[in-house]
Amino acid sequence: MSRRSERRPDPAELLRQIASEGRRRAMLRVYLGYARGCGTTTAMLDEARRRHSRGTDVVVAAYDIHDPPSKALGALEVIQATREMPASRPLDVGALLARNPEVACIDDLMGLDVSGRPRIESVPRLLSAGITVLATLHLLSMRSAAAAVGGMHGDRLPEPLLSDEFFNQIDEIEYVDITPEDLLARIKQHAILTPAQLAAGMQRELRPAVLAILRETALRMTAEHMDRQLSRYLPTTQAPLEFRGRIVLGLPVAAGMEERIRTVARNAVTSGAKLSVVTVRTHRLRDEEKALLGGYASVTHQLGGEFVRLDDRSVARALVGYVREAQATEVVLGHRRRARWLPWDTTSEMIRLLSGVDVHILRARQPVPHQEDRP
Amino acid sequence: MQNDPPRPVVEPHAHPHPPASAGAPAARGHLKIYLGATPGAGKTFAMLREAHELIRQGHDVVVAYVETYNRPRTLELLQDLEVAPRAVVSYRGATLEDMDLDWMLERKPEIALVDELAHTNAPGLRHPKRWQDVDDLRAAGVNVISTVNVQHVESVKDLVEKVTGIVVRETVPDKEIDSADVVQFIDIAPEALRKRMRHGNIYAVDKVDVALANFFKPGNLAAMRQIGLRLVADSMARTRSVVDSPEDVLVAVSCGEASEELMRRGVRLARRHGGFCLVVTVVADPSEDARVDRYRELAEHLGCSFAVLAGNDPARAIIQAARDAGSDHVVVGEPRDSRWIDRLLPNVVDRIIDGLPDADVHVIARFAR
Repeated sequence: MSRRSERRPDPAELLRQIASEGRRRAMLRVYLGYARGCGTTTAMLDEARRRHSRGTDVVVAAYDIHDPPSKALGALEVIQATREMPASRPLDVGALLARNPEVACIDDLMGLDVSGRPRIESVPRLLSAGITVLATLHLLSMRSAAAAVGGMHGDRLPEPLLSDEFFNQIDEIEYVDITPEDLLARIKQHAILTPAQLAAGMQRELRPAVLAILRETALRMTAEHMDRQLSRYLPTTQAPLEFRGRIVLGLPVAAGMEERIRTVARNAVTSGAKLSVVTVRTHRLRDEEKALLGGYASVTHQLGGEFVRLDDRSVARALVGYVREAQATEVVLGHRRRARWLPWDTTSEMIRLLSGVDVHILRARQPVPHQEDRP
Repeated sequence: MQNDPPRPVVEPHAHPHPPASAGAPAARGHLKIYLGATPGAGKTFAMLREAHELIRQGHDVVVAYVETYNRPRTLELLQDLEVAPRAVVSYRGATLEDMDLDWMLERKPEIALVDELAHTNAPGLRHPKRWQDVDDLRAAGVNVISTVNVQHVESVKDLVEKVTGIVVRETVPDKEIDSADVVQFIDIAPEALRKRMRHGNIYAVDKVDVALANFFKPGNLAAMRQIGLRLVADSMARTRSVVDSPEDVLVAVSCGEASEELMRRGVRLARRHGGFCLVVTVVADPSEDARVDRYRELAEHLGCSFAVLAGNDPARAIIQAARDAGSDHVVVGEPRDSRWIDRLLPNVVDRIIDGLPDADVHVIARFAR
């Protein structure tokens, strides 16, 4: 490991390189769980056993198990096995490359290898050497997930953390499910945590409500990972799907719309849709209005959406044109700001013209803190 | 879509013959469901494996009915388990096998394994659907472990049909799934499943190519997996309601063609927000409208309440109902094409939007495709 360069290589970058070089026969499959004790290691070892029984050359390169190792590992070959079989074994990349199996199991991708580096940094090397990797990953090892739940988790974030970019590069994710109740039962039964850890955990990350959020996040992240792969399978001509559509948010040129953008963006993420935030300029904008739109544009970009400015005297006509062109499946509009309905009402006109597209009208009071009525 | 509506469910119902150890009424049995995105995901396998674990812990487990499809690994797991005899029914010259509910109620184990909750029973058995058998077992105090495929969940049936083009004939009511104590998702990546199929682990090798080119197309597998992952994710909303306050949904239907989809959309929306779903329809004279029954039944299957409102002014009735129920979301169908003269007055949807400024109004496209 002395030949390692000073600058740390970015694993996501390396993975992309390997993929682009077309040398990739080997692939990375990750078993994702939302807490310790979810059963990801068991799932990984099951798959290893399945492949071993079909004659594939499989070795276990790193593990961390709670059951007696001889029972959990069974007939699987452990790299550099010793007689006493410790409950955990760090990754030794050099030894693994020398052994050069078809498939290697690496428990806990963010765990450390023998040189103190996160195991994941070695994965690109293994893949380019033609070694398929089966691995496990904890939801809270991912930067975005850890940040999202960090607040209520009440715990400092573990280091190192995995970037979302690397997550997207993983060939296959399989989510290992367990309900929060079963998880707690398992943790107790298999003594996965010490009584003190368990007692502390029950006050924080092991609270049922927190576990529910973690489980939901893991399910959604798996679905999102699938979204990116779905585009490989489905021709673009296929009818838009409820879970893979495009949401258009029609935004008035008015103050206080950040919350609305955030709410709609959150919904887009939940349903796996793309988001376009569209404003229509019906007149020359004043400087403060331009600044307002600039702010909305950057919020939108931060949330992964696109921001579109259209020029037209008719808001409805411009929005409808955009919705058709972008083949959007859903349109979100604010509540109409007129006190009284009039025959040329924008909302009514859009609903009438946008036959075949769902139109959602947001409630008037909630997302907008205060709104000045402009004609 | 030929979907013969299942016969109305009468529950809770008095048992024709009470279970063997009739004494103090037993507590209702628990239900655990293994939910898989597609056949072959490994639900039955997971269920049988759990059975072995439970037996090791000293529980009394009986396999009431398991479909092995002659999968070698499934057969292997079945070997040491107590398997109930099957009910044999002759029907039009064919012999059909099903779960023997009477035998099971007699045997009354602590835990019963019942595969494929969506299964339609052979004609002549006590119930038309297996999930009704499971209800009986639970009523008798038997804990049940069962399996379901995502495509068979009533509330996502239309989604699956739209995405995959597969016609779904058998469904399980959402209320049955919501009544489960535990729903565990069995995930498998589409390519992994296809690989497993090519190895002949799921169907006989001679059927594999056809299956891979049809139902098991990568696009179908991916879409059903997503529907499943999101279904389970959405259902967590109720558990985390401590953090986010739940939001209730009102669906207004005309009991016409589009009503089914509106109701399913409403149920999914409510699930995502951890709230409840109420379906209302407005008719001039409730006594003479027979169409209502069909939707009342669907509402029951989807686990939502259903109300028939009398009146000649739908918009007014709907607004009033939404205010009374405190609905946070209102789901309505797209208004029909109007003549230009009608556009001078607000239509039903316009009035609902104006009348309910505190609710999100979702106007669902008539031909959503």
